[in-house]
Amino acid sequence: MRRFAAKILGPGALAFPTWAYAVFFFVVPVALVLFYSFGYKPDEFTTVATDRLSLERYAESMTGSFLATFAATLRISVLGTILCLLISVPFAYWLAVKVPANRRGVLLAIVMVPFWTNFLVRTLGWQIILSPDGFLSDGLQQLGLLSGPLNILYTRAAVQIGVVYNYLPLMILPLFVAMDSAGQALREASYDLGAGRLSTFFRITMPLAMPGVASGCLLVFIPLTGDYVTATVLGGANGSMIGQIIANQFNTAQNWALGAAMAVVLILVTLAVVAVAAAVLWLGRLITARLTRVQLEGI
Amino acid sequence: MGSLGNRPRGDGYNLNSTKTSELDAAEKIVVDELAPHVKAYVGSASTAMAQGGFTLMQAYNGDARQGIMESDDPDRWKFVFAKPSANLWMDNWAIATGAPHPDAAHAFINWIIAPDQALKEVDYIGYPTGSKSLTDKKVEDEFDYPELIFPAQEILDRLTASELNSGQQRRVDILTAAQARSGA
Repeated sequence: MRRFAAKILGPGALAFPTWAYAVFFFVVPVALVLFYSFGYKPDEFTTVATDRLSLERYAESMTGSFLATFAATLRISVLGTILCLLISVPFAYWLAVKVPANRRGVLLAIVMVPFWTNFLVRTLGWQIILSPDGFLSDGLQQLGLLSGPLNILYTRAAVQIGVVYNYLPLMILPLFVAMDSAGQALREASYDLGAGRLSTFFRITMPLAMPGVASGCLLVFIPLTGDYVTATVLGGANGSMIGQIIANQFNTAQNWALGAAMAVVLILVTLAVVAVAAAVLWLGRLITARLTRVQLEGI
Repeated sequence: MGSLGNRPRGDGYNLNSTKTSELDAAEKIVVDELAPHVKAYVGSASTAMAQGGFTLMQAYNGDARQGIMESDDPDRWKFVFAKPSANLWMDNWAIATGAPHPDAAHAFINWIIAPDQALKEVDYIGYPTGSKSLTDKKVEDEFDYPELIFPAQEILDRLTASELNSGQQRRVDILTAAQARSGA
């Protein structure tokens, strides 16, 4: 105990802002959500009671509509993460390798500028762009590319566009950092040894950028799965996401216990998906390492 | 979607019903019959009207009036009060217990219900307030679409004010199920 106190008051005190932030803004709120999820809603005017703890709220949350919306959410978030990755890889590569160093700052700033605007306002902007009476719809009709008004707003496609737009910088930035530091020297060595552009990209640049791919995917997938704003603003009925159902329990039903149980399920499923993806990637690397191992002993 | 409960058509159920059998019947109609034709559940009816893409909406009268007034083609829209009943919603000015400046709150409320502001406020929000300046019936003609702000007494008589009761959780569950089922 004394050693613990010495740690907290000694070196630990220096790190106070960091661990206090983690404790008060992460550990405590998540612990409260977990605790409430074992409680129940005693009457119309009380949101949660915890004098009797049970797993009943978890059983209660597993309705057909909850699971259907959950499946739809995972489809949106997995597809959204893949789309972000597919767009970001060439862009980050171009930015890190092809663009002269003195222009990179400006281009990075352009990637960041939308982030200076509020998330909700950015998403509302897409309502105007995708609106059936909006300028995009009118323009496409005048060009003869559309025969009727644009019918994307309030569909799953609108949510998909919105999440890719909202989370794209979170994928570009780690990829850019990873590719920027993934040495030019190694790429040149690869060319010298006779490798072509594609071969160099897939055997040198991409493997070195893998930590960036992994952190980018985490940064996009996790918040995207719990996103509630994009689906509410652009989603309509078939673009519903699980975050909205959880919000309904907290706001409209005033049932914090059930909402908390649903939130815990969301956290666990998100972690499970990340764990499965990590396991698959790890296996894949293990297999490719086996297959492409270079034998030096015979030389 | 606060008035989910008014869906049980002409079968005479109260929208505040807490009876399981009536809520079951309501769920069947809302989820199985109505939801498949619903395109979206939007927070602001007037915004959705301005954006286009909808032909039929369930909306509160004041929101609908705002949307009609902002529309380029107001004649495209017609508002009807639902039958046999619909949700009669009331918002309130409330001062929280222990509020640090109740005098300032009273002053604000007095200001907003004083004649000048009251008329401007009603014209903007599209709902009548408790201001004395509205007791004179003649004032109603000063507004656009007055029939949407001041429904006739026979309409008011058939509306039902919603109650927070033990049916609330079930109503939210029905809404969740309807949302999962929707997507026209």
